[in-house]
Formats: sequence, C-alpha cells, structure tokens
Amino acid sequence: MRLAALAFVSVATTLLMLAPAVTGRDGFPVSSHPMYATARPPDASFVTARATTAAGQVVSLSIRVIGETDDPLVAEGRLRRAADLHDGVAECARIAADIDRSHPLDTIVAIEIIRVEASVTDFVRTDGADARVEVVTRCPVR
Amino acid sequence: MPRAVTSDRGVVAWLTPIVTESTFRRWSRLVGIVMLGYLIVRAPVLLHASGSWNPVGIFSPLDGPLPRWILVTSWILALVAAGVLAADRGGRSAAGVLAGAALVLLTHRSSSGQILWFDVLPILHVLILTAGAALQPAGRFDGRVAGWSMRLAALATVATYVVAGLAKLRIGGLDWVADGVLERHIAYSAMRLDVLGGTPSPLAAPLVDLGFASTLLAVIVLVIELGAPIALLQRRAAIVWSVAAWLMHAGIAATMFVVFHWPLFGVAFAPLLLLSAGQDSPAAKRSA
Repeated sequence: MRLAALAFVSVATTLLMLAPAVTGRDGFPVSSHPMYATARPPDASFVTARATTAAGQVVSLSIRVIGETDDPLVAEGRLRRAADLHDGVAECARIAADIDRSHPLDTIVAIEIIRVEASVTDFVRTDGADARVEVVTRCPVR
Repeated sequence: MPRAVTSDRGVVAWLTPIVTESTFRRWSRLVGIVMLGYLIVRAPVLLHASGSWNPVGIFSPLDGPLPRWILVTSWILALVAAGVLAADRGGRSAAGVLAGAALVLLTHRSSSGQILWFDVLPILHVLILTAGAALQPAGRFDGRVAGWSMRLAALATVATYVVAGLAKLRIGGLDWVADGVLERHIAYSAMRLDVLGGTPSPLAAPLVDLGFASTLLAVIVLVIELGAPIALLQRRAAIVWSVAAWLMHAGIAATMFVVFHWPLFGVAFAPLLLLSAGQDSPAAKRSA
C-alpha cells in the first residue's frame, strides 16, 4: 500500500513536470523550458549602457557595472525592461551613481542607455561594425 | 542488460527500486558538493535583490522582493546544509534545510525579472532528495524509499529534457531545425555578451557559418532531448544518452558561455547512472 502511494506520487509529479509541454506555461520550478526554443530571427536588438567622455569618445562598461551581475541573461532582461517601462532613466541614474562612486574617472561625463540592433551573424563576423545604435536616454555623471 | 530490481514486477516495482545506502549517500553527497560550489560562485547573483520583480512559484503572491536579510540567512543556511551533505553528515535534516533555503534563493532569483532555467532541475532534485531522506524510517535505512526518490529524480531529469525538446517544436516549429537557426542562437549569445560588457566565446565567430552542419546539429539536439526516455530503459542506454547530453551542454558552454552546471558536473545524470549500475546488486536486495 505504501509503495503504491509512493508510485502514485511519482506518476503525479512526472505528469506535473510534463504539463508545461502542453500548457506552455512557464514557471519555477515547473517550467516549459523555452530557452533557445525560438527559430531565432536574423536580427536582434539589445538595450545596454555606455559611457561618454568630455571629448565625445565612447567608453565600454563591464557587465557588472551595466547589470550589477555577471549573468548576461539577467543583465539583458533588466536593461530591456528598464527601457520599456521608464525609458531607462532610473537605470541610467543608477549606473551614473555607480561610476561616480566606484570608478571616479574624471573623463567620463555621461552615461547613455542605448539600443543596439544588428544582424546577429553580421555582428559577430564584423565585430559590431554594422550595428545600428539609438540613444534611449542620457544622464550626466556627477 | 540489468535485470529488474526486485522479485516483484510491474510499474510500482519499477518506480520503487531498491538501492543500497551507499548508493543513496553517494547521490546525496554529489548533490551537496555541486550545490555548495554553485552557492559560492553565484552568491552575488543570489544575494542581490533586483529592482524588477516578476514573482513566480512560491513567491507569486508577493508584491516585491524579499528583504536582504532573508536572502543572506537563506544563503548561509543553504551553504551549511550543502556542506553537511557534501561531507556525508546528517542527511535528513541537512537535505531539508537545503531544500527550503535553496527554494527561497532560486525562486527569488527567478522572480527577479528572468526565470533561470538552469536552476529548475537542481531545485527539483534537491526537493526529491529531501523527500527520500525525510521518508526514511527512524533508525534504519529503507532502500525502497531511497530508490523511489532516485527514480523520481531520474524521471525529473528525463521530463525536463523532453519538455525542452517539445518547447522547441511548439515555439520554433520545424523552422527550428532549418538552416541557420543554431548559428543564430550562437551569434545571438555572442552579441548579447559583447554589447552587455562581457567577453564572447572565441569559438562563436568561426561557428556562425556552419552551413548544413547547423541543421544536423539542430536535429541531434532534438534527438537528445526528445530521446531522453531511452535513458530509463537500461544501463547502456543511460550511459550513451548521458554522454550525449553532457557533450551537448559542453558544446553550449564552449560556444555560448552558458553553463548548465547540473548536467556539466554530472548531477543531472547521477540518478540514472547510479540506479542502472546498482539496482540489481545483491547488496541492494539485502538492504530492502
């Protein structure tokens, strides 16, 4: 009887784990595992951040400064949502404050939240030379 | 080919195989070791209360992220419990503490704007391990209960791969195996790392022109994911499938710098391999 109950729990749990394949509903820890599931389109758009100097030069920032993480999946989601919801103003101010506090580089005068669009394969082949860049928002450092 | 585990046959016997205490403890230790490493390496991500909040799972009713002190406390508890499991001390209570604390940490992380799919199987396995430890009778080892939890963990592994394969057909359709999809996934990951201030894999650029190999690799990925149930059939199938799935994850890590730690460190496949290796041994039968 006890073994039958354990077996029933196994069957029910397995069906629960398989259910998202039918419902498509993603959650945690019961997930539909949609990672890499799309027939990825040729073009992609990312929201990210960069710094600019008084001379107008562009300075790349690290993923830790941009997204407060080492995980690109987390940083990608964070910046994209920030741009969609508030034009990235709050993230821009946060990065500017971080730069001011931990990287006191006098030459950096502003942070820009930007949207980068490109053919993903061309971006990799040309090292981003053909990417289209749109400034979403800009905020001063200090 | 291994024989059935027990003298009795049928679905119930298959779902509740007998394992030795040493097999169960080996699995428990492996879970503890890899969770311990993961908790340390991922501490900055796990302890960060993100500004964006899209609650999932147990945190669905919450309006905002947890206070940092709860995250820190959970992390410390999980760390200690994983260490105890890794050292093979106090299995039942350590597994319970690890399950509770890790569920809080990992669900919180996946509620912070992005579900992290590589955390799904680890937490399922930890919860199942805890059930197997908690249901042990006081003062003795029940090989059936332990085997039940290991079989359920093996089923969890298989289910997650099958669901991932079906998701590709459901979302991407047959286009998913069309020319260029895999190379676009590799290029997408490289571009994402590049624009977000990371360092893309040096293998990404040479691989964006895979040509026909892209379709072949896409088919292989689907065969591995949808073919996961064969790993439940017999030992050789379990080994072949586990090696194939491990190679797939090694390829993803090398080309996209996306690390699925649970399969790469072998924990995802451990229940399949340990069960198929030890289930028909005389020691397993004695411990029933």
